[in-house]
Amino acid sequence: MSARHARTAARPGWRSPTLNWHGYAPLDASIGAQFNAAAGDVAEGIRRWRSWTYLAIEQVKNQYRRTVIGPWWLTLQTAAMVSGLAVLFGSIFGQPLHDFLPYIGGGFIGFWLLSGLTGQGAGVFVNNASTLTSTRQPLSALVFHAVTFELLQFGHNLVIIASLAALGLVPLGVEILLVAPAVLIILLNGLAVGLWLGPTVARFRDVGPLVASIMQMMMFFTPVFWSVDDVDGSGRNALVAWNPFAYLLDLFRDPLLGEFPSAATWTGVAGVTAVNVALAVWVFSRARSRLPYWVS
Amino acid sequence: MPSVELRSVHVEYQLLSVRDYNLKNRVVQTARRKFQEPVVIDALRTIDLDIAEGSRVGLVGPNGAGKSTLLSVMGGLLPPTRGTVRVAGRVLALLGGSGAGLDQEASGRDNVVSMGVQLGESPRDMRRRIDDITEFSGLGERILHPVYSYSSGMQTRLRFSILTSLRPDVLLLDEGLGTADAEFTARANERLNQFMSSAGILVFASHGDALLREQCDEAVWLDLGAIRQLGPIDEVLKSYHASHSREDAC
Repeated sequence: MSARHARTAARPGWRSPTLNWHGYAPLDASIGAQFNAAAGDVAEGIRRWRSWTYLAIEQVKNQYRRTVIGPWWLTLQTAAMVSGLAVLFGSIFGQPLHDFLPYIGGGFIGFWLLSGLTGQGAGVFVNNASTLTSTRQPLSALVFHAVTFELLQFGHNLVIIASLAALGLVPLGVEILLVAPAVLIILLNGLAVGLWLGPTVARFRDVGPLVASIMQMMMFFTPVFWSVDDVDGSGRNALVAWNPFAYLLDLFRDPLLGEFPSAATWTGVAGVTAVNVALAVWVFSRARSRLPYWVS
Repeated sequence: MPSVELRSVHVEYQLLSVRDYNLKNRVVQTARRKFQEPVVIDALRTIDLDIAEGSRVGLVGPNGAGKSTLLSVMGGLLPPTRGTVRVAGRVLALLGGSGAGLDQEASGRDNVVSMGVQLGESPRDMRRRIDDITEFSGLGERILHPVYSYSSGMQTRLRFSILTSLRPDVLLLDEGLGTADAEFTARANERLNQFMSSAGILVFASHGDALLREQCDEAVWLDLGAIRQLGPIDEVLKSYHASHSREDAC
């Protein structure tokens, strides 16, 4: 061992071969180098799919440890909420229950996934601060884990949709096949949100509670248990036209109602996804090396 | 061949005050093109260090000297603000509080698997190791209990046992065995000796002279983020302690 106090400048272009993916890019590295490091992180994250799938399953198990019916509590909770809302709003809007139940069921379960992904994504780095600063792993693996956790919760809620289908309330046409790609697109957006909103919340701690407040509001501003046709006024179009959640929700719910999502929905979804992915690339590249400083 | 090389490593912590964390103020400042410089702490200043295979290096220095920060940098958990770090070989670090990285609700057994999985092992491989890790940690039946029911010494024992079972080339310990009991420390020393005979690198930050003397041949004395002295462990400890008594005498 020897110290080389005399040496002040680093050897030019001297980079570790072993630190390719998890070696954080130096803080003063070029944006190109930061991007490469971030891309390497996501690639390694994908390669470790077994890890985060395992960890997400464990997390669901842990959350309901010491309960008897475990994660099915969530299903029961959702079922209670959906039936309550369907009865209440069905009578307010004068809708027959057999039409309104699948609308609200799909809407509530879809929105629950969207809101869960947003909340998980916002908190992903702050909540995992202890892991991030003590256990070396790709940061994207933490986001993949959070997204998978939400997917598992959502999977339990799908039982409700299946029950509605068994009761003949969900038309089982060819459109129903679109539910799978819709969920995949929503998960891709959830991943992107984790990669840009997660670092934002870690740096600006006000954003976390802000996101939580906005999501509460969005529950009412998104056509979850009302339909655009039910509400009068010129404001309603703006509520839906500028609401990213509305497009993603329609993408998931329309097939459950036996409808093919409209061109406007597809366009909106493409726009929302493009913005999310662009933000993810930009923010995650720039913020990745600084995250350990922000959460420690 | 494991090695650790640090070149001009500098770590600055910006103390993000309440003002800086606040998005509104940030927006207002940006709009007015007026930035308030945050308070900066130089945690490490121009550290140049080469550690070759088979070295056992002790880190000494007062609280806040930068020992933990240096270990985080070597462990790839914190990128330096300036400078380069090169670590060859698998590096594992026992850093943070006794429960860092453990899921408190899950059993010790489940934590063995999930910690290994986070470090890139497969769940199946980790399950195979559970018995060995349980035996080495000396947790016995308690391995089935949730980690929140463990004392901090037991949590340290569990983490140490998991990490060393993964056969690191470079092992970084931050007061790693501080809260473990004498019996476990003896066993841990034995395992560290085995590890060292396979030419690994050990970097061990501690305030315990006896542990340092037992485990390390060399030492780095950090003071205010800079290397004040490095050399054989006895020499470094001697001048380190001499500096206290000199300061006390003043």
